Amino acid sequence: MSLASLANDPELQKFVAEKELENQLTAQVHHLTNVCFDKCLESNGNLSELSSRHTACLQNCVDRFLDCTTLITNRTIQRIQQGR
Amino acid sequence: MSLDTQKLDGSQRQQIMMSVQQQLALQNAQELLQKLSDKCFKACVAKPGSSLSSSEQKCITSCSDRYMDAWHIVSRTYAERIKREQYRH
Repeated sequence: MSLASLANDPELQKFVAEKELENQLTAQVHHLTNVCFDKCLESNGNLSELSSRHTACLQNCVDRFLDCTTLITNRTIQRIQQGR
Repeated sequence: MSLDTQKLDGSQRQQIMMSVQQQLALQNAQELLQKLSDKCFKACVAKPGSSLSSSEQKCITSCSDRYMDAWHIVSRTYAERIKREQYRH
């Protein structure tokens, strides 16, 4: 389906844009869970429940990963501006 | 394929939107299943035998429950972070 054909259809355009955004956010959640499960649960299969320590680790992991991404993005922009 | 969506009536538009929604949900479920299998096979099955032992099965069951718990925690934390960032700007 050509998305260009939606140019005359604002309702569907909005719908597609919303779904694309949702999809991106969900993909990010998958990625974060992947990374943080390994970091915080150390690939431990046999837990009967998540302790408060595990929960705190997962929450911190998400925030720190996003901080890391922000830092790297800014640093990269800086380098580009400096012409390196 | 170029689709003239203006020629569709209300219920056809609904159908298309629902169909897209379902496809995305399916994609999401498949992604989750793939991750669960990867993680829990790695965590629980050290040396593949001729069948899954009962301890391996128990491990895989807990592992997938814990991964789903983690998924929900991450999802909530991420949503809260996005809200915080929005209010900053």
